[in-house]
Amino acid sequence: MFTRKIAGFTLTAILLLNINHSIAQDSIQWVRGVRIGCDLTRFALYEFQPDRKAMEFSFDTEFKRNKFVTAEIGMEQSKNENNRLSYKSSGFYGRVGVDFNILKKDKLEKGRDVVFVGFRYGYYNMTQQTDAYVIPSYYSTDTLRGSYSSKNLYGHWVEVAFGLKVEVLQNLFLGASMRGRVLLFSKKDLNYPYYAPGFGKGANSTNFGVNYSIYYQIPLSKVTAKKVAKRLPPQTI
Amino acid sequence: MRIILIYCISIVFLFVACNTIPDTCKEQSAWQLRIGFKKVKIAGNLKTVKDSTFRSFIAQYISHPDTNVFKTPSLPLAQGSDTSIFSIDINKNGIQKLYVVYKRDRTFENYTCGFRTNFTLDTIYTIPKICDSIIIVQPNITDVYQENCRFYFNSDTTAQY
Repeated sequence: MFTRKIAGFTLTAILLLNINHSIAQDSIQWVRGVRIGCDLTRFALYEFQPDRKAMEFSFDTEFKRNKFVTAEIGMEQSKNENNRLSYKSSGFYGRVGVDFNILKKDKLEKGRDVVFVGFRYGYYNMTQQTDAYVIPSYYSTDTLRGSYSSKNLYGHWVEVAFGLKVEVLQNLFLGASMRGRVLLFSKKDLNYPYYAPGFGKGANSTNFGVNYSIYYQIPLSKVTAKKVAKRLPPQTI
Repeated sequence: MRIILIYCISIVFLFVACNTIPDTCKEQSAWQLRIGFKKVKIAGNLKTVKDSTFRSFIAQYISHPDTNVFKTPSLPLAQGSDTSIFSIDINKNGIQKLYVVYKRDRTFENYTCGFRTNFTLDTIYTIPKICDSIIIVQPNITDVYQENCRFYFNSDTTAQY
């Protein structure tokens, strides 16, 4: 827990140190391209929650100034073993949505840091299996043992995201976001999922989540001051 | 101002991420059949029903005579069969058999406790008959104190109780 907090603060500090820097390319106003991200918390997850393994990648691009279309995909495995239960699950998930940059950079402003509010639709598909269960009884010879075979489950949810992405090196970003998720619909089983991939604890119909991600933006086109000036009416320059 | 706001938000992120609530776990024996006793007195057209407590109540699960004797009318049911049979002795009036017939199904508690057996009462009777009637008032066995069935004793016909 303590190590996790330190890791979190370190990432936060890196973000804060870089939030107001600007890339020394005065002529470039902003770069259009696809930003590919990888959620670092998913790799750290195994260290702090050994019963979970996950990875997540994200893709986003600015389709209009300050508006981003974004997609996230990932997979997750979980297991739970104690004296009453031996359980495992695995599955994948995807989210699509839009982010709105609340820093509201105008067409002439430089810098590509983003503080965003976003909305997502998410879907997970998973299988879960209870290899063994034990139900102890008051009577010593009355203990029940059994297992449940593999079942396929899925669910749909919506989420609100709030976070930031800061350019720490050219085209390289670090970002953090907090997510609030609400389950819309899920296929039920006798036991709810231990962890629903991408959604979080299967026992809850609402979940909070946190991401710390690293991103690389593949620059596809650069918008320079000259190009902006051409597009804007003369009186606004 | 923006930096302070982002810093505060980041701290909130961390606390949200680190905050987990552990599951709590109850033993299967918390789900017990709870019996209430009533005495019925009929005088002409007037029928009065009163709660009754007995000087002694002793019960034992017949299939597991090595288990403890129950001295209160709260009896754990067996989850391996649809009927639990107890030998009971009320006020030392001799041993009778109490048959509790029920349906079982499985529910999931949480990932600490695993699964649990649910009991839904179907029929309760004694051999030989020791009371005038037995009524199931709450067929679902729960983990909170709630009477599941009531034994009605007519003070004229079962005066020995």
